[in-house]
Amino acid sequence: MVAFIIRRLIMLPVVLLAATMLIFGLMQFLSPAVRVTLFIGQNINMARDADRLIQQYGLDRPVWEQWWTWITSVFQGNFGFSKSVNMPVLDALLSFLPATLELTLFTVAPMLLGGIWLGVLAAKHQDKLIDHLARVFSVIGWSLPNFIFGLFLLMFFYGYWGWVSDGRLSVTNTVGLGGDLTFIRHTGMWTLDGLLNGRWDIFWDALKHLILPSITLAFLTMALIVRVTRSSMLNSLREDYVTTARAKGLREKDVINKHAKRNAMIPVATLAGLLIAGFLGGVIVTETVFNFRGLGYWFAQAATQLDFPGVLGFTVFNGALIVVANLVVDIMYAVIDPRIRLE
Amino acid sequence: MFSLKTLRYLLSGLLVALIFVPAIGQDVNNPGTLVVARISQPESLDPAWNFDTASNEVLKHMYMNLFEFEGASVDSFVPAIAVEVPTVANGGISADGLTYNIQIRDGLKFADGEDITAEDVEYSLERTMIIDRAGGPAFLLNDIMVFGVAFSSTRDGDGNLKSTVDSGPLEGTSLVDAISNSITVDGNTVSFHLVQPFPPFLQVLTGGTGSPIVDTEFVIASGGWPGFTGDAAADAENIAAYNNPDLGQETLFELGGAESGPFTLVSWDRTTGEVLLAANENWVVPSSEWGAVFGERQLDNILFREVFENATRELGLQQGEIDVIDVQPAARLDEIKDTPGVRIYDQIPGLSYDSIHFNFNFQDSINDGTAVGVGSGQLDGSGVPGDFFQDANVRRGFAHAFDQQTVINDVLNGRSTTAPTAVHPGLPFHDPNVEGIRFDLAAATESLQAAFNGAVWENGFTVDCIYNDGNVRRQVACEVLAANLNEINPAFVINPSPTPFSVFLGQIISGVMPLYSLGWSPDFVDAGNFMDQWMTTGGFYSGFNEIGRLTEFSEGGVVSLPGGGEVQYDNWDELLRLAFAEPDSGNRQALYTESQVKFVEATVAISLTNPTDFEVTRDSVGNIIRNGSLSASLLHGVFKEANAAPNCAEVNRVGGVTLDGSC
Repeated sequence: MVAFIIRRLIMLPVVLLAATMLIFGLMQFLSPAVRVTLFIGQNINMARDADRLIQQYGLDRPVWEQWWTWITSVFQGNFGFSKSVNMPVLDALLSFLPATLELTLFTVAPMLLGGIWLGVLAAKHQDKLIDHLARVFSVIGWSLPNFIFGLFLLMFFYGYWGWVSDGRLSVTNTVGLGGDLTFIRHTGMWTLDGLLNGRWDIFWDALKHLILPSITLAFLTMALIVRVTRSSMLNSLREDYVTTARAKGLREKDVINKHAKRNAMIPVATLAGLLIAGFLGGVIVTETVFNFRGLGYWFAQAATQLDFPGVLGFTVFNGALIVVANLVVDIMYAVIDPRIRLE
Repeated sequence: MFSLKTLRYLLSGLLVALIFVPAIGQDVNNPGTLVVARISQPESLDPAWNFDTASNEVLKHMYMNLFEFEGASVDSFVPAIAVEVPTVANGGISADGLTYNIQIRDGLKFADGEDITAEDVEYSLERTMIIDRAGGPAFLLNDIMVFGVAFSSTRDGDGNLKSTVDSGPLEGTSLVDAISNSITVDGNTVSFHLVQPFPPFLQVLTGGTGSPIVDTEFVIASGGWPGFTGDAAADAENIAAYNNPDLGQETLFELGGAESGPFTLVSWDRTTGEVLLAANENWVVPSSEWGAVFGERQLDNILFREVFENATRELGLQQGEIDVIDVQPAARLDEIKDTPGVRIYDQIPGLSYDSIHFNFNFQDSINDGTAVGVGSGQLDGSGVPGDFFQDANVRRGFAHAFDQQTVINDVLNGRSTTAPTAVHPGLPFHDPNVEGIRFDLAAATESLQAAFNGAVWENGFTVDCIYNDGNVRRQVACEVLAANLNEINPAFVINPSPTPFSVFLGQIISGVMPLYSLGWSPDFVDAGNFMDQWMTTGGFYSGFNEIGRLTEFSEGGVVSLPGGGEVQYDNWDELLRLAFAEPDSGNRQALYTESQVKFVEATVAISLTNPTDFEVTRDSVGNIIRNGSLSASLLHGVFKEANAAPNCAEVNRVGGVTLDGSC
């Protein structure tokens, strides 16, 4: 297994270099005059300096030269400046990651626990009421656009009842923490930082602000988990070893949990791994609707403003994430099913 | 895990809660804090860098200028750091309009308790002039105190710092001498020395971009430009070191401590897009005139938030969590105007202006294959040639086919004035007697039948009308133009074409689009700031569109001046240069009227709209003053209380209204 992991990790820089080359190649479909608009933004007066800016940032140089300049500065620890969010790329990554991480943490548990529970329940009661309900739930969940579901939640829980607001903290706490030097941002995740600083008010406030975006994400992805778990469980329940287990007189609970469910989890693990990697790579729509700014927000800004340092930095991060996520999923296969060997 | 029974109970309980729990919400949330949700966050909080609306709105409350706009007015001022507003009559402005002597008020302090002095005023403005970041506000000062040309730069075409001034009366003077001598101090009087008369100079000193007053000692101690030392070589080195920094490298990018205004910076979180300001304890109402307009400061904090999503901003306002919001598009106002607790300030004169632009020469881009939206590139019915819009009959035909009123009624719900030229009705020197080109399909037919000796009518054309994606106003304008032209001749095909803003702007710079729609917002409120962009070879649009290709550009003319005598000009560049520098307002009016007549006669562009401005607040926000010049609100004297009375005097001063009928 160690050799397998090392081989995969060696592949990582190759994949990332290829991805950055691809992006530089795609950039060439945009003229220097278009790419320079990143530095101009909405300030069209600055367009008068377009030629100077093109020269200053080397946008008219050959693509390989631009790539080489970028990659050499990356090896010196400089990923460039992400103009779309006005900060260096690494700062942007570190600034936006905690929100995404926090959102992911609070989404994964309900998504997996709820999805697997409902999927198993549906399979156990195939063609019964609960199965029909689970299927309706998964069809609705997976076909409902998350911006509609998110706005729907916002409309009721924020606009009508006023239970929560957008963003990550209430105005009162944002203002209160503004000049508070005693509150230390250990992790950038408000829930954890609230606990670490002994500030329960911050913890609860942050938690409140996490509920709606987490529900939005969890509901929609849970639908997929339910679907995959159900069909995988149905396959498992038809296997000979399940029949054998039942014939041996094992309790139904043990048959389901120890024999059928474990084997049914392989496709679920694949799906969950990729979904979690997707969350960590940012969820653009959910973050935008709830003004809960994480990596998805940053990537959307960078992409729409042609902020190539930002796009490249995000790509490197996301590429690494996907490779690592795949690796973890592969390892999990072996853990779930000892018959699988990683060669 | 939950049993089905438990789940059923939980769901039932949740539904009951959803149905019966009443809406929570107080009349006034966070009474000492004003929450302003905008569509974008500042680019930089350094006043020498700032040149965008979002930054300016924040900086307007962190720093004072010499003057402040008199409430909602865009062309009258109240003294702030200055003792009085200078005029020729009170001796503050020299008779030739070249020197402004401004006395600085005693007793005002920066946030750290240091006195605000005349030297601080000199330092602050000279700092803007030497920093001169690309696309920044420095040209507003450098044009009129150093270079004597519009949109000047301290760098040459290759981006290298100039050592000497290369234009205007100071040509040949070292850059160090030119800038250091442009502003001088004598006691508590600051003198500004202009190289040419510039009537809107007080606009520049008031508007906020580039001219707020910062704490010299604080900036230098924080690693900022050390100021002029008297050692020419060292000063030149310092200019080179601080000129045109990359974004984020400017000293006050995210740094508070140098504030002269009513609020200080507490924090700016660029991740969340939130800027938090707190009351500056060392600030006092600077003048009785200021106090009469804005009143005392009453807020403890202002929180500016960037909230992208329109629905999220509106929900925040509805819930009282947010006090002031951006609303887009304007038609949304009619949807939310009856929301309880919401107050809309409407019909505030806006100063932006949109048009559909003609590119007068895009042949080069056709030749090298980079042209966009030109079809075949020939007058064969499926494209347009590179000189298509050099024919006045084509331009006039297009303009006659455009129904300005339909766009105003259908898209802006009446929230716009018709604008015959770029000198729209909100600007000084707008001449109401100059009529724009009327919507008249018969006249359009006549013009287009004559265009290219009948070839246009016979062959037809196909061309894209390009606009920035998401802008409904410009989209509908292109669609109206397309429909009307197609009605008079089915061989006339215009394809409205949305393009992402960054790509769109790049295409303007490259001069590759034949027909596109975009607008202009003022750098300062003056006819020249608009007309130059449409009619001069150095103008923003007219430069990229090669206005010099028009025969009308070089026809010249004579203008009779009301004070007697007349002025002759050879081309539009000269006409507008004369108008810009003319100190006598009567003569300026005559010159700008001439330019407006020429604009219409030559059909330089298709005038689109001059949208009115608006602001949307909770009705618990009192004394907010919307200023059309800033496209932002002045919050100096805002307070929050249940059903707060609006400042109707300021609303009515500019002809505005509130949609709840309170003003």
